[in-house]
Order: sequence, then C-alpha cells, then structure tokens
Amino acid sequence: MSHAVMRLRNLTVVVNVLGRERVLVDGLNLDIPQEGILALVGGSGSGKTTTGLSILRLLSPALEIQRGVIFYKSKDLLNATEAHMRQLRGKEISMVFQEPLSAFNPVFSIGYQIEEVLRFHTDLGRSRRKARVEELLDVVGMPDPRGMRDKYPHQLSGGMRQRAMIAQAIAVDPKLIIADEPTSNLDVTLQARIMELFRKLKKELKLSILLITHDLGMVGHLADEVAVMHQGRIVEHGPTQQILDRPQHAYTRELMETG
Amino acid sequence: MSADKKHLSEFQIALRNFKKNRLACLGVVILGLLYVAVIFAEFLSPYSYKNENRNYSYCPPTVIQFFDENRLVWPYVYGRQLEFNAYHGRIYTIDKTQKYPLRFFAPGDTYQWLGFLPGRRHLIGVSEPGRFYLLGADSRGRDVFSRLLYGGRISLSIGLIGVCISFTIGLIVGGVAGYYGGRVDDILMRICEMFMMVPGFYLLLALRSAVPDNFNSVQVYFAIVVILSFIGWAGLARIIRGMCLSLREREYVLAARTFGLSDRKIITGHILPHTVSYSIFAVMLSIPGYILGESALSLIGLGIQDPFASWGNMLSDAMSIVRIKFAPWILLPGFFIFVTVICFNVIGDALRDCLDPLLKSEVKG
Repeated sequence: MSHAVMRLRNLTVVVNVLGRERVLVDGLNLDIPQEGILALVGGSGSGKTTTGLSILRLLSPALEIQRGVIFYKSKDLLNATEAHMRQLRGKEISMVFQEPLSAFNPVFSIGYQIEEVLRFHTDLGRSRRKARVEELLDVVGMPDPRGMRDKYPHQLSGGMRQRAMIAQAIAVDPKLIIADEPTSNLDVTLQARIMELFRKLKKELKLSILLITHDLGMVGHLADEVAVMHQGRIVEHGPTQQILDRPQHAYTRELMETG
Repeated sequence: MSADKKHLSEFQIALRNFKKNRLACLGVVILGLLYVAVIFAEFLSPYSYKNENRNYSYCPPTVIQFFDENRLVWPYVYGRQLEFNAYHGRIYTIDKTQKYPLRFFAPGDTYQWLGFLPGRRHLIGVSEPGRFYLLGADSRGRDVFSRLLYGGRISLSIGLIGVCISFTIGLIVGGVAGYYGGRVDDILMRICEMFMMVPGFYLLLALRSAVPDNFNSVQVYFAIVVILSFIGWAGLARIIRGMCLSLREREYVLAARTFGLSDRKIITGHILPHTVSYSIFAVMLSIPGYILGESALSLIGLGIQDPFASWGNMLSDAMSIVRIKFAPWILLPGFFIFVTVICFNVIGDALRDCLDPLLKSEVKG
C-alpha cells in the first residue's frame, strides 16, 4: 500500500463572506492509497465534504481553491482543463452521496440515470447499455435487476436507493470513489450491508475509496487508513487500528466518545 | 398508501383530475372540432376562400328548406334576387321560382388539400348559378363560412407555431441564465427586460413595418409568427430562469456533474424537465395572445392580406357600424376568436390546477 492513487498537497479552500475570507480547508495533505479505503473523519463543518468536492473541482462558486495541488496519475487536477475534468468525473473518479433520494433526479427512472452515465462515457449501443445496467444492479445486490431498472427513486427503499447510487458510481469502472457519508441515513443493519458491499467492490473492482464519514464504527469495519479532520486540518492520520486503539489527538478521543 | 393504489403515474393522476373539470373537457372538445374543421377546410367549405360574386355582396345566410308544399323533400335552397331600395341599400328577396337542391360531395372549386392533394369535391354545395351561403356573404360576395374555415387555419396554427418558437427560445435562455447565474444571467435578463419594457403592440407594429412589403402570403405568415414569438419569449424566460436558479442547487444536479455530464446535458436533461408542468399550462395560457396578436395585426391590415383569409382580416369588414347593422354575420370571426381564446384559457387553467404540485389533489382532500 505504498502507492497512492491520489495525493493532495497543501490544499487550501476559502469562502468569501462579505469580503472576509474564511478558511474551510487549511493546507491539507492527504494520500489516498491505491486499492485501499481511506476514511476522512470529522465533525460537521470540518471540511470533509469540501475536500471531496475539491477533488472533482465541483465546489459551489462561492468557495475558492486558493492554492494546493491534487495529483492524480501524475497530473495536477487543479490545473486541468474543464474538458479533461469532465472526462475524469464519473469515468475515473465518481461520487456516492449521503442522500440518494435527492441525488437521483425524481423524474427519471434509476435505470435511465445509470444508463446516462454509460451513454456519456462509453460508446456502448442501446441494448448493451441496458444489459450493463442490469449487470450493475446485480453486482450491487439488488433483487430483480430487470424490474428495478424501470423503478423511480421514490419507489425504492433507502437501502435499495443507496445500492442504485453505488451502481451508478461504479458504472464505468472508476479508479476512485468518493463516498460522502454513504450510510448516514440508513439503519444499522442496512449500514452493515452497504459496508459489506463497499468491501466487496473494493476487492473485485480494485477500487480506491475515500470514505467521508463521522461514524467511527463504520471506519473500524471498513477503512485501511484514517485521517481525522478538525477545522480544516488533518489532526491525526494513520492505520485504522492504530488510530482507534491509541488515539493521540484530543479531538479524536472526543469523536470516539461521542460516536 | 398501499403499493397498488400508488401505482398511478403522475400523468394519470393529472389526467384524472383534468377529467373532473367539465368546462375544460368541453373546451378540449370544441377546440378539437375547430382544429379538425380547419384541417379539412378545403373539403368542408362549399367555396374557395377567394370565390367571389359581387352580385351577392353581404347576402344574408341561406336558409335550407326541407319542406315543399308541406311535404318532406330532399333539402334545397331558394335563389335570391338583388334589388336596391330608395336609399340605395341592398335588398335580397327570396325567389321561390328558383330551387337548388343541396348536393353532397358536390364538384366545385378545385383545390389542393393542405397544398398537395388535389381535389374538387366539397362536402356540401349547390349547382351554379345558385349560391349557398350558410353563414352569409362578405362585401365581395364570398362565403363567410368557407372563409371562416380557411381563416381558422391561419388563426389557429399561428398560436401553436408561435408558442413553439417562443418557448424554445424562452426555455433555452431561461435555462442558461438560471443555471450559470452571475454575469450570464445579468446580461440575458437585461435583454429580456428590454423586450418586456416596450409595449407589446407598438413593438409588434414596429417589427411588422420592418418586414419588406413585397412578401408573398406564406412569407408574411411566417414573418408574423416570428414577430409574435419574438415578443413572447421574454416573460417565459424570466420565469424559467427563476425556477432554474433554485433547481440548480438540487443535489441531483451536483450528482449529475460528478458523473461528468456536460452543462448542456444537465440543463436539458436534468433541469428543464422539472419545468415541464409549468410550461404545459403556460403554453396553453399564452396561445390566445398569439391568436389575438395576429388578429389585431390583420384587422388593421398589417397581417394576412386579402384575398387570403384570417379571422382578423375578416373582421376588418366589420369596422363600420352600418355594415354590422345590415350584415351582423360579418362579426362571426370575432365570435370564433372569442370561443377559441376562452377554450385555451379554460384548458390552461384546468391544467394549472391539476399539474401544479402545490395544488395536488391530496392537499385539497
């Protein structure tokens, strides 16, 4: 695990509020291990999601990446053209959101929306795409993939929706998945199953996963490495067992007690 | 909320609610009949729109006779005699010595149905020299009923085509302005406001006068459509822009971007579909504006030119009180404009009631 699929160096994100700058991410350094799961842990407002969206360069216009580099395949994503970024998004790096009900467009079936990613990134024909959608839904463990294809987001249960979202994220075999609190809105048994799914996908698809969460229980089950984030900075970083067994930083201990 | 009951799609629910509105259903039926009638105008009309006979200027409606000496016979019409009274007014008297039986599929003026299918049969007609004026004649002795059908073709289609053009522009401009926001939004919205600032009718007149006057009728028709839609898009663009401003903040838009979709795909594929229900009833409610705009232009002689008929230019005959007094049937195009506009409004209102998410049937109980 010496290789890193992505290296973030000195990433600094600021927001401008009425002419005054507030730093959201403060000189962040982070290596996302190849075919590993790195958990980015922290409380609300610690800059986890901002970091995730910075990687895809999809921050809202009010937020600005002030400096830093994001190396991916020896290329700095912060200097890449928008066209190049569009090629990366979904195809190399994709994202799983916390709330699939709002991350799916309510007016289209989930099959259509998964297919849309395939349509954009591959030149598969119509019937091949449909077959691939079924295959994906099967991979993420949805029962009756063919029937699920035509279901609308509101017709699925929370767990099914999250699986569909993951199917969409792995549609074109990305190398890196940014999972932003993927299980926060699910109940405990479903959380366990989704974690199981992530572990399986990591192994089968050789995925690297950046897991953004505040749930240390999930981290213990899933992550290879943990980085604890507090007020825009990484306060502690190391292998999961080491961090969970012997937390060094006061904030980490606080997180463990409350979580 | 059982799963089976819930399986009515949004569209089915809307349709069910729409059917409850009797007035709107009536509107649909009337409009349907009008559209079918004008599509088959060549066949349904006894005469061509330019078939004139000056001996029958302002001839009153022909009465169809069913009885001859108290016996039921094949329907026929009487001929007419034109006389002038002391004030040089036209008096038409019925000449009972001339009888013209009605003929179905009667040969008459040749036509090309919708411009390509030639024919000369008309649903109903009488043999020459008899004249059959179901709804009276205009100043040149042309059949008002026939001209209503031909004119309806222009008046009814101008709204549809105009709305298509202006909604395409409005959706694109509104979508782009709302999605990008910032400077793009500022520039596009200032342009919109420039169009909205000028009073519509004067803009209409100004644009019309900018069109060369040697256009043929088809060119004039399209010039009018383009001018009308040129005025109509701005208001829609502003509303769509407002909706897009809020829609772009939805997480599925961000999700679509994380999958690398282009801005164009996101606007057309993920944002604009959410404006559909608004757009549908906005379309219905804005069509009358186009019909009235065309009528107004034609009425004052700037639209469709004689001998071509439109409901507007037929009404220009009715601009004198004396004529209306002696030949009230020349007001009929106005009646048809009125009916059409009311129908579109009623349908539009009903659509708004059943498509607007804030007024869902669940809420109303």
